Amino acid sequence: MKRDNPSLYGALQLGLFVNVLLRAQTLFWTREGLATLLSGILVTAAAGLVFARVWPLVQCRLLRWAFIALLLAGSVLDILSLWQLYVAVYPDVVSLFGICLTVLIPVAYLRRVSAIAQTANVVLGLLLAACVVLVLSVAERLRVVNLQTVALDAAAWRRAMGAQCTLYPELLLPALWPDHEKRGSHTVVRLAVFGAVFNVGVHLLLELFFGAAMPDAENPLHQAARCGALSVFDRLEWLQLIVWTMAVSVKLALHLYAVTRLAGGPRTDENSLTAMPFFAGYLALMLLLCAVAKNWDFAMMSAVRNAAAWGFTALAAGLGGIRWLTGFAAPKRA
Amino acid sequence: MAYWIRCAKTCLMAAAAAFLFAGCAGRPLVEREIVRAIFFAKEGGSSHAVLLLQDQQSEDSSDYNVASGKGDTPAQALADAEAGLDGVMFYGLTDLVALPFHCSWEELQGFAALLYETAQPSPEITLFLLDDRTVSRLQETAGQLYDEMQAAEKKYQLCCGLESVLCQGEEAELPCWQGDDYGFAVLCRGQQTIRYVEPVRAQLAAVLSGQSRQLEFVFADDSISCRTSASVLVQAQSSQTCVFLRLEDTSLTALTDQVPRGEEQLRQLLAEELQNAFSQMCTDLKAMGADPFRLSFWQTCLQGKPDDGLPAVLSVEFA
Amino acid sequence: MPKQKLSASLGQNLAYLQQIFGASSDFYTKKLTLGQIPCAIALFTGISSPEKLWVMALDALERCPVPARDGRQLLTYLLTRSVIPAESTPIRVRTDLVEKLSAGMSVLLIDGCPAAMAVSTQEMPQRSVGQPNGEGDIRGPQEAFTELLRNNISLLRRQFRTDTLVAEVKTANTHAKTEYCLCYDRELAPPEMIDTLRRRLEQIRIPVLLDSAYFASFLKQDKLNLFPAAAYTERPATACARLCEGKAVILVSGSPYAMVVPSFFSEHFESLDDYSSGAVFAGMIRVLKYIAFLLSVFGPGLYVMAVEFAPETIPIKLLAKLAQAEASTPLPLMLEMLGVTLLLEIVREAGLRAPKSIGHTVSLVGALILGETAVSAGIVSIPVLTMAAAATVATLAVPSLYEQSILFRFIVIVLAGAFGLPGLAGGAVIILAMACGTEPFGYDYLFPLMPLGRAAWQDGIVRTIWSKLAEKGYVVGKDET
Repeated sequence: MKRDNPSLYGALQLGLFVNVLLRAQTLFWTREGLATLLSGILVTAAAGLVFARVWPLVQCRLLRWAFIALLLAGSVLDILSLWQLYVAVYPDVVSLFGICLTVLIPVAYLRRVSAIAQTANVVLGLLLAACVVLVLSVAERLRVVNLQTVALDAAAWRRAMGAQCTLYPELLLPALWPDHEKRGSHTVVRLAVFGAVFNVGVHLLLELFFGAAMPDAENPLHQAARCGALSVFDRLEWLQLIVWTMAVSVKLALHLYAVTRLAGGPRTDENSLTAMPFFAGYLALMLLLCAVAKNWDFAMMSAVRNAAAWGFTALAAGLGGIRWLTGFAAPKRA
Repeated sequence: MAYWIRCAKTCLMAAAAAFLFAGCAGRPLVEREIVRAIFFAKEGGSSHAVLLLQDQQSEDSSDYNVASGKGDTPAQALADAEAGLDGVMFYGLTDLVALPFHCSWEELQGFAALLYETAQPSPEITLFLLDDRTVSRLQETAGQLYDEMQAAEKKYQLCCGLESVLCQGEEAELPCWQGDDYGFAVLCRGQQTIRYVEPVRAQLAAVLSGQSRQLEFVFADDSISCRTSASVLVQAQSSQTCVFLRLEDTSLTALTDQVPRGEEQLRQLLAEELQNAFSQMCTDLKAMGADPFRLSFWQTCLQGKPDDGLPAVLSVEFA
Repeated sequence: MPKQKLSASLGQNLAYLQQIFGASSDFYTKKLTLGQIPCAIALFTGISSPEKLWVMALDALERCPVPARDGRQLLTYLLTRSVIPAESTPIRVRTDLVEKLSAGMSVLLIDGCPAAMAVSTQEMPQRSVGQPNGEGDIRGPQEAFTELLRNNISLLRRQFRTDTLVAEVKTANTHAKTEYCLCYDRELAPPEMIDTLRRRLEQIRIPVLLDSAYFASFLKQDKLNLFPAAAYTERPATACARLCEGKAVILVSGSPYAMVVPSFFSEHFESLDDYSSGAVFAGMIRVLKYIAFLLSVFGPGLYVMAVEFAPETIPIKLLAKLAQAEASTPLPLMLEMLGVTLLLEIVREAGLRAPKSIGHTVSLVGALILGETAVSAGIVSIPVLTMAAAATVATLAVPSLYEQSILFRFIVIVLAGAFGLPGLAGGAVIILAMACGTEPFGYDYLFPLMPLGRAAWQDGIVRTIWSKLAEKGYVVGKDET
């Protein structure tokens, strides 16, 4: 009933699911995904755990701002991916400015950690319920014979492994608030497991639906949802879009909370971490960045974001290792 | 700082009010041209597109208008048809697309790409291959054709959406509409299209390829009528591939006195009819190099590798 | 300002009172002697009863000799040895004297004594305990609170017959010195919550306090949040039930509504009848109320969004009718929906504020104008009117969230009409964030609905049978999840 340090696990999990759902293209066949599932989980979980261990040792001003830049870039990418999806469905109706306002303004009401945590739990429940409804609605079009029986060669293995080893910021964020995560290191492992399993599950669903055409489908989840016809109401992509928009808002609020903590934001007694002037600046910055980046290649931006995340983690790990070693090697003072 | 906060709030409120009083970004229904079906045809070397539109002036939802266009390619024909309309095109409620009867696999891919790009918000489309008819006749009978094909879709529980056209790589299966009944077509890259118009083969092929779950036809020289629900199970063995066709709620009626009246005998006749149709189809499809029944998939899954040389047999079971 | 003490001189005290209240015609003083010692009684005749004073005090004093030689001795005798049911604490300062008189007490001033005695002789015109107006229940007690604070406390005590009920009566920092009472169960209510609440109430400074709801704004954590910080009830039975859950009840003199703190979202969908009816029926009604709330908030916005942005969600047979209706009206759909909703609210407000004698006229005019002539003239369409009316009726299924339903409805209509699907999603997130972000005294506002657990199915979304419910009653502060 009363929560002093609400867990942000739900919000982190939601963020990971959003990363999978907003992707415009699929990455591997299901067989490849299953074959590389375990190794992908191990790699990403290890990266998250190492980062969580070294971050308290290495958090300097430069690394903090690098992390902030990574989070802001991820937020911009999420907004633009959502906008691209809306443009595909309702062209000439929804503008980028409208999308930005409708996903960013609710973030103003998610200034408290407890609000983020609780809202994320509700939206996660809605997302899973919507997924069940969508899957049921296309159930008769899912055919086992659509699964591709391609042989696994080295190239396929490498491609699938590369896709499974995508390092999302949500795997690094638990390092910022150890007081919120009572499960400790299990948080990162659980996130990695559920995120990877969800990713492979979505690929399985899409392969059952699209078959050989899966790699060519643009925004495949939306294309699959359009064929959803359940009961009186046809076309379920509106349900999909509404729930995803809500999920993106929560994800942005989570990233803003992380940015505020990294920037050493004001803390008040009422657990309201992001003061309004800061939010206004954040809103303006996001609008500007979205306007600038709207014509860029999103696939390339994703790849760059992933590379930057790995580079940042490696740098932090390296610095952390050096700090640990020098701390180990330094003579003990009397 | 307080001053800047007030300024920011004022600007946001002004923007919100502007959106409010700008009349909103939505579009009234009456300004939309709601497309219910698209008929593509080829005549005299040109492509034609006939759009079946919902008549928004009428309260009856089964009243339609028709618009048509012509061009060198289907995309141009569609654009020409759209250009002749005043409102904004809305494909969100499009149920059906009919393609030319002699469409090849390559042309089918082009149609699919066009529909994916054009039809937004993406609708749930059923595809048919429509027999050759003149464009003028198509324009006159578009509404009736649409109703008939919708009725057939419901009657035979057809499920052939746009996604199923592309899901098997270099081959595709589609229902056909010829005269007033539906058939089955198999299209393959670089090959002649196989079309089954005789009801037993067409419906059996549709059931075996997963497009349908209902069989309703007359056979044995129109002397026996059959109506049944069907489901399929494939068992790949090392020596052959068994296709089990399970029939439920089977209703067999002798229409003449020359045929036996006993249920067992009628079932026997039905099973023989289906097995003959199946073996004939397997021969045709093997020659074409197509596998609409996905037998090689089951062989790969259950035996480890596909083997095109294995015979396939149909076993009919009655529930 | 240091408090001025009473004078030992009777004349000076009387002169002080005459200076303050002399102009009021209901201020009454009478000099008398008790045991040869000059005294005077003072009271307001409108709110205090001289007859009661005679019966309670003066008659007894008349018959029994008073063994006192001076004023101080007389006061000591009256307070400690006489049978008079006087207030145990004597009045020593002028502000207290004024407060006691204003509260309807009679005051006995004694010459030679710098203190006075107060006797509780309140008798003021008051409304009798009647049936609640704002909370309709079929079963359960039909009593309602009244405007008199003492009466309300007694109504609570009748239901809550344990020694653990605490009723702290305090005077609010208002110009009119209105009294309020903080009630709680000292064993069930968390002490830190009560301390915080007490401290916050004492810090509140407002010009007037006419209703318990005046406190609500000061107790709210986030001023941008539209969800109520507290719940209100007219029924002593409901207040008693909340006390049993470890919550605090605040009664204000002059207000028949008790404020319950902390308040949770699910409580707005509960009623006394839920616990009197069978579990299955009660569960069904609760689910219906949740659906009604969602319909009232999102229904009109969803309609606007579907017709203007996503007509593919509407069955084709209905779409033809909607297109026809839309073609016959001049305004964009969003403005039409806003206008009709606004008009319905105006009719509701007019019906509420209008004198009873012409109230039926308002209903007739509202129905005729909106229902008949507006549609016939083509100003509004039938589907829009139907949707708006359905939403308005659905709002009344959860009357305690009426204000929030209306505000949210307007927000959702504007967002959905301006931005379509993302606007509707944004509105949903804003409302959800408000609900999730509300923390009345640190407790989850959405308890027990979220996180979805056993509590939600025991007495949240639905209600379990009484035998199971009796095993585990949820008390604020005792269920730390």
